[in-house]
Amino acid sequence: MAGKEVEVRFKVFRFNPKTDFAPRWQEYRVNVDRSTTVLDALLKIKEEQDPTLAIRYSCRQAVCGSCGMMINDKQMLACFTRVLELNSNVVKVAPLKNYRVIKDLVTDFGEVFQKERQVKPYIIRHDVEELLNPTGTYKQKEEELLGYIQFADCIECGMCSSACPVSATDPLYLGPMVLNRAYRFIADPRDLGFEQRLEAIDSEHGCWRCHFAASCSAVCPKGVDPAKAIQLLRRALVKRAVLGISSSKVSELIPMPHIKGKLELPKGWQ
Amino acid sequence: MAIYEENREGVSGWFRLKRYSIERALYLLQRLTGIGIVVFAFVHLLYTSWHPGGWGDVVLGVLVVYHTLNGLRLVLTEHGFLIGKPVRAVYPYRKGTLFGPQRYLTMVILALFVVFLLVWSYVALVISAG
Repeated sequence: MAGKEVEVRFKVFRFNPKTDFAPRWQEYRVNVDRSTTVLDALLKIKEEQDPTLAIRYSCRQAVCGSCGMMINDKQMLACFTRVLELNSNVVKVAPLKNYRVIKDLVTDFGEVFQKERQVKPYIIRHDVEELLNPTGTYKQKEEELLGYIQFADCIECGMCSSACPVSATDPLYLGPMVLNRAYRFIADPRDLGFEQRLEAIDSEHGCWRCHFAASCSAVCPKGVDPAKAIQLLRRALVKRAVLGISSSKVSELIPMPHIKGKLELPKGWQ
Repeated sequence: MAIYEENREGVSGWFRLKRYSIERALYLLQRLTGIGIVVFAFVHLLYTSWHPGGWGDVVLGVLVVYHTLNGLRLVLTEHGFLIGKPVRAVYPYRKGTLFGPQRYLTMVILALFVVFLLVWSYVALVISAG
């Protein structure tokens, strides 16, 4: 602990859907200094005051995206937010909105990952033989990389989908996180799966449901700008419908003679 | 209870504007003015060419002028214009949808809103009332 300590009141959302009828707010008092993050404070509560508090976290450095929660009514990463920078004596901590609560601050991402599977979040190519037995590498220019690298920075904390006012009313809407994921692969020049993703994204619960409130971009902790991804996704769909251009130039293969031999697959894989 | 477990915000989520960017407020107004215009258009068709008259016309002006101007902004931004190209995310992040041309356009449409509304109100209150 470094520096002057200040006592801060934490109002924490407590709810166990299996036993409780309704959620309640429980108050804790924690001493924090200028380096204490909200996650540190919650762990301190868990260690010293109330071991029944449920939190999900992993890396503590804004890389894993597990500890997204509502801190003073805004989506923030608990590990990335220092308590004193909130400038408030009372810190209200609640689980992310628009996700099912498992217990206390832990939310269920199963539904959103199910939606993500619909947009096929991986590189799709026709040259299966080349993928299994690589003879070279796919050419990619710096500009082509810049076309999607921002969206590839997503850590899937799900805070964008939680902030989205459309997700608030439409449970079937794919949400900014999933659409950003879809655009990341569509903009990738190595990918050929645009047509296969259309069913999910070009629908009433797909990218046309967005109304550009830009709250997703406002809360993103990694500078990903999901709102931009969704608008560019629409642009790609309009281009396809009007001009018939369905995907960007496909990157060519640069043969690399030193890559030899078959890729060893584990037994039973095809 | 299931509703607490679901934790979905519903329509109240539209009204949670604090701590978000101005675009969220514009989105809320776009929805509300849209609903207002639909209600007006319904009555307008039911009683052929009915309109409220006087200050009611000014309110109608607010709905129509705002919805039109913001709609034009959305037509541009939602087709990927004025929101900037994808860049490398380098801290401090400046997201293209929240800074730059899109924001200037927002200021322009808000200024135009005031101008057009004044003209509309002048016509509704002074010229039509004659």
